[in-house]
Amino acid sequence: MVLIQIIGFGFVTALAALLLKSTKPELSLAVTIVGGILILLSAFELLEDSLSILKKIAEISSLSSVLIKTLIKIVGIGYITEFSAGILQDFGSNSVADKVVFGGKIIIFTLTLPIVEKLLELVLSFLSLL
Amino acid sequence: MMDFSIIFKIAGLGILITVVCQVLKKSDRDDIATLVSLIGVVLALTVVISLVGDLFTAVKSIFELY
Repeated sequence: MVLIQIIGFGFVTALAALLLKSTKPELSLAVTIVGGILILLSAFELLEDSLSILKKIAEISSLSSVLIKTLIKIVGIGYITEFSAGILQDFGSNSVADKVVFGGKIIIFTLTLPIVEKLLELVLSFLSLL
Repeated sequence: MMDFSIIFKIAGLGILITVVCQVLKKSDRDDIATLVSLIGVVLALTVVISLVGDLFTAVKSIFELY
């Protein structure tokens, strides 16, 4: 049961971090990071199957695979940047976390811009038909 | 399937190092105490960094980054 596992990870991590916070704050941070990673890894095991189903749906609906790949890639970039920014915020450096999130946004923007361009080209080709 | 043991390992490391530091500080060896606490942080961070690498490779393979 993954749900019970995730809840257990959360409680154990919180307790261990609380135990260490007063004496060794830097090790409490390490415990928090490890707990977060374990929770995410156990959740990602489920996600893998769902993504393959999503790809199958895209295949059936004859959408271009590049679009679906870009979509999934954007979700992955979002997860990684959010996770890293959360760790940095726990570390106390909010400004660096903001910059990491900003960098992730720029990367997502560069990934999406070609798709927007493709859409505009499609609209232009429709206009030239008139 | 991950296990809880890594969290307990780091928490136990922290408690052990706290005790060692207290003993060393009480016996007037502050320099060794700082060294011990530094080594503890490095040990914890090596575990953490390998796990972060695991997570990032998992995300990369699932979401097909690169």
